[in-house]
Amino acid sequence: MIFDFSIVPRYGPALLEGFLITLFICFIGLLLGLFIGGLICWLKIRFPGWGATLANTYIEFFRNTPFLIQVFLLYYVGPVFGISISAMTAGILGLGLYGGAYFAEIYRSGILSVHKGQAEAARALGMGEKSILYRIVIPQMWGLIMAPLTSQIITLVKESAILSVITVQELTFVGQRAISETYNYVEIYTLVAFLYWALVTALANLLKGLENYSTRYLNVRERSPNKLIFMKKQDVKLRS
Amino acid sequence: MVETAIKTQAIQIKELRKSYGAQEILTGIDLNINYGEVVCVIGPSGSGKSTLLRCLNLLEVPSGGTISVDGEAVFSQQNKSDNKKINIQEIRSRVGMVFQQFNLWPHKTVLNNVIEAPLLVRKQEKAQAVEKAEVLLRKVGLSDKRSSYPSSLSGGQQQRVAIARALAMDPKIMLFDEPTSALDPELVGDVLKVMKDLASEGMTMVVVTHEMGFARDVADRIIFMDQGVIVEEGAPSELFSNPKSARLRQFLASVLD
Repeated sequence: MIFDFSIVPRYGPALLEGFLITLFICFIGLLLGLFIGGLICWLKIRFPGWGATLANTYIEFFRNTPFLIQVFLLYYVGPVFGISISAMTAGILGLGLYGGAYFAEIYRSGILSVHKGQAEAARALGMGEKSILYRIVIPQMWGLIMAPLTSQIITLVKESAILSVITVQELTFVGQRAISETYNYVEIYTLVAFLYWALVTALANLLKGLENYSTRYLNVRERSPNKLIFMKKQDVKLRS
Repeated sequence: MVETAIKTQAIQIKELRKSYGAQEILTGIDLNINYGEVVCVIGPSGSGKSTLLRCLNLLEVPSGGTISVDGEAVFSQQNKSDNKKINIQEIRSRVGMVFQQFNLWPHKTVLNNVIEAPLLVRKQEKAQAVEKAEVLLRKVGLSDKRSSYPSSLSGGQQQRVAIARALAMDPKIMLFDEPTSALDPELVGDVLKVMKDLASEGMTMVVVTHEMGFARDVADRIIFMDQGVIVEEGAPSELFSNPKSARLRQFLASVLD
């Protein structure tokens, strides 16, 4: 089979533009998701009764239904009630709402994983619960959650391809349009895949840097938990 | 009359009870501790020593009885409505506590661990807090570690930083919850020395410990607890050489050889 990459100069600029739009919606959607996640997590922890019920309902809806269906609902249900939003807005909102459900649970797991002696020491010194949360618990939470957070962020970026179904002019959409004109499936999908790969790889490296930064205060052994499995049992015990 | 008694004593405990569900941990503790007194609490594990200590600054909320610390009611069963008015943060800031697991904040340097509460709770000026922290770090022999993170310190060094952190609030009373139990044997001495110095400066101290040598040399009074009650108390010389109860004799026999 002969690949015809002469389409690159022809569709390159369009694909690049789609790439930039993907970058844009992912960036805003991600920020929105991280924020919504914080809000949902706060609701769940701060108000164990009604807040937790509300938060759990939210999380259940967005985790237990396909992203594709959520996007359709967002885009097509609005106009029924006279609210019409652009595909781009629906897309960003969709990413934020969907990501937020996952991020909320990641934050919560991190907060619960901070050793309770940490808050106790602060309490014993007369610090208030708010200061304890913001100055003792949350700064340590980041170090604990960066690994799962990274994989969830990467998933979110790749899920943005689904937004092509509601005509967001992002990378996948632009690629599919180019294919419908030229039928160069292999070349164009290869190019699209490469652009996603480049974006996600760059993002993963950035997040790896953030992970290293958020655990900078730990020593080498504590920073590489996967090495624990090669350690002797009594070594692990000493670190408790 | 009760009022005056409260003011002269650092800690007053009456009929203190604590239970988790049906399980009673403390079944009626009466104990008064004077200012400047060093009291060591000994006893087998599960006897309620740590729970007693943790009730004093309300890290555990008692189930019954009354506690006054530094002249102020911390908990009172009779006037449950008063408990809401108690400013527990203010009282805690006057009572230092040192934990078995150190509980230093790993994301803050040694210096920042020490100045955190003075800045946040006491609203001190940073320069003033740092100056004080430097004095305290010198006192515990760790001036050179001010910029280190806790993870790079040994257990004994971490515990000494934890003591400095508690002292930075100028506490009237210091509570020690098995401060050397998590340490390697060769690191215990440095921590005990810091505690001895503190005792000789007249600090009011309540120390839950398994270090019988420290209890004998430093304590003014020993409290022996078992199964949620104080079984026996007295001066160390008397208590160690002439234990009255069978349970204390048994306990001492098992820990002293």
